[in-house]
Amino acid sequence: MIVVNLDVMMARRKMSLTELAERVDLTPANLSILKTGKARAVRFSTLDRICRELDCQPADLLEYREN
Amino acid sequence: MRTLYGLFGGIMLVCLGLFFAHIFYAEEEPLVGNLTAFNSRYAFTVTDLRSSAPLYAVEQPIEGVPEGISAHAHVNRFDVDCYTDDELVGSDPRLHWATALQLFGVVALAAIVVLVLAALIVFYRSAKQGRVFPRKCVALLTVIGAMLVLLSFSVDTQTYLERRLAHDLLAGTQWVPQARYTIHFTRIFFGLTIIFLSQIIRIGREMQDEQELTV
Repeated sequence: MIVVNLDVMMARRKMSLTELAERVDLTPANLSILKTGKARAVRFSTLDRICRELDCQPADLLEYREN
Repeated sequence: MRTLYGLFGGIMLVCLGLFFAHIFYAEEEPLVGNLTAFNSRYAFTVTDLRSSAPLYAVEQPIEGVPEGISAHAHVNRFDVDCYTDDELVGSDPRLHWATALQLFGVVALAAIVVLVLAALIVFYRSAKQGRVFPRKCVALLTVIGAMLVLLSFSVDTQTYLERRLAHDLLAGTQWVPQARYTIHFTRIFFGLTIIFLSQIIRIGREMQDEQELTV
């Protein structure tokens, strides 16, 4: 399964959910879906914006773990 | 839209009321005949029997037709009322099973009506919220379809048991009826179609979730 470590990166960059949502042009509810791991899919454009704002790589956000 | 739903619900309730009223009224007295005339207790009635003899074997000449014309009435479908003091006949297991299946049929039909109304309400509310494929409808429609299939088999079995009983009672007479187990595929097909529809809604729901949960 794919684990989203968005909360870890947000804590490192000391950025709140609302602030990040505003910067990447998403609603806080939508970003929360990603943060809590409920998202079914992520668009590349969204991933691109998040990585740009958090100054990180996709691998910092997404991790694969065995079930 | 609310008016349509109200009208639909009202018609369904009236039909249900008439259906139950007919059942309770029919149970109070025999359909044909008089207790004192037959000097026996009313046992049961079997309806919509078909003659197993050739159609023209049970016939009656029609009088009063114009001169030069000969006409005969042929019996194809008939009902049988049984009057007896013999408790073995009145308490035949097939009769009890047929009664139980009839009761199940009534309950199942009432449940189907309620479930259909519930499904329509769920659809309406869900559509108002912008959700086209409501999750609750999948389960409701699956249950409705399954109950329709069960109801079909129940009605067919009840009919067969009654016809079998009548066949055994009237064996050797001119009125011996057919006693074949007939499956009404129309009802089964309708039930299976509703189950199929519920699966389509389930797939649609998954696609909708996929789209909504794509960030």
